Amino acid sequence: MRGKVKCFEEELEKGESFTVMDAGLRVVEVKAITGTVDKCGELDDHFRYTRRRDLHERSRRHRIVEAFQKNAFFPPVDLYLYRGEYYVVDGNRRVSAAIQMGIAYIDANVTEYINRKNFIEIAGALYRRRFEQETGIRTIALSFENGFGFLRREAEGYRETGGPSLHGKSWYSQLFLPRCMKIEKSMLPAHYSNLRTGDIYILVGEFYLNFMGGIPEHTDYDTIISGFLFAHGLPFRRRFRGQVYRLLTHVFMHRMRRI
Amino acid sequence: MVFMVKPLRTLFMRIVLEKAIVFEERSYRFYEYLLGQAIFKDIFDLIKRLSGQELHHRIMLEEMQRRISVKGADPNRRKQLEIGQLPSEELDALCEEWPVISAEDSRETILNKALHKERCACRFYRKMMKLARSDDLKQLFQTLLGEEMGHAADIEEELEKILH
Repeated sequence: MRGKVKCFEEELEKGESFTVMDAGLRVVEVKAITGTVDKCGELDDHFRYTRRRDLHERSRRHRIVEAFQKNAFFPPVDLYLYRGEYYVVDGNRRVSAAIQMGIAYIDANVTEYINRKNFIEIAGALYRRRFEQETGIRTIALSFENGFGFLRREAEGYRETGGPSLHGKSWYSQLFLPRCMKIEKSMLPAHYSNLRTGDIYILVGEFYLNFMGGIPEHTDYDTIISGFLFAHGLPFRRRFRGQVYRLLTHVFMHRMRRI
Repeated sequence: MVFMVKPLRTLFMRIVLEKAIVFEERSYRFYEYLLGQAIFKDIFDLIKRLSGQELHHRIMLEEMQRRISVKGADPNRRKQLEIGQLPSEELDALCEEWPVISAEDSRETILNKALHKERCACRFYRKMMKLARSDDLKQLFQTLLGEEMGHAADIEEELEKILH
């Protein structure tokens, strides 16, 4: 028996007031869509109707899946964002079809709900909005959105020809994405399992900024990661520190002294 | 003079760099320990700067080692990065254990220990600089030497303040 999707009204804290912000059109991870706004109790955890199993409903959903298979264009779904989870306002069938098709990301118009008492979250949302407005990049997701302040400053400092938005896009494609790929291949995600890759990127960047005034130039990012792991006392691999190399050094040093 | 075949020289270059990395790591841990000591609060900025620079040295050395290790790198480039002869005595100096700091040690004793190791590092990098064949390596060791000398001077200055 399948579970049901979350209900927005039930999740929203009772008696609290909220700041509602238009987060605009963005790319959303389908697995982050966990609930619905106006179809509470009617959808299973794959966003399929549980009660209305009539032919008409099946046929509609089937048509959407078929259109997805033919790579047809779909308008963005409408979502509410609350505490890092998305709730469908309009587009339950499209989300259901996306889940069925194994599609990872979907376009969505997002409206964000933030508790007015949660100043950290509000500040984070403002940092994110400013970052997105100035760089035109809306695909970065962070667990701690205050980090967008660091990303904005870094993107701003990344000098390339073109307008401010182009600066951000060059920074994103030439610096942020390649470095994030290296982070994903490193041991860092295992040590910081509660953080997203973007958060780890900020963690590393802020460490070097506070400690050394910034990441050393002309240095491979793998070396930067290795330095970070060492400085934080986290395990890291050093090939030339192995027993074989120690033995080799010992033997040759001994021979050289005799010579 | 001891000559070695080229692959062996490259291998030893990597091991030498690894030993230098270990040395810098110990230096970093040494200063990191001092950062947590209450008696050094008044020279916190100096110690933080020194530890930051030791970490930077480690990064520079690892980067050089990585460049030597990159598969498919230009053979001429790799050849240039080799060194002619192993500086065995200096390596021995590097292999020494980092002095243990005890709670009873005075500021003067600890700063003297730090000064001793900074001077060891200076001797090591000076020798390495003479032996390095490529401009890149010479420049790296020269930079490290210059910075280690700077560290020694900073520590000496601090010792002067304590003594007078």
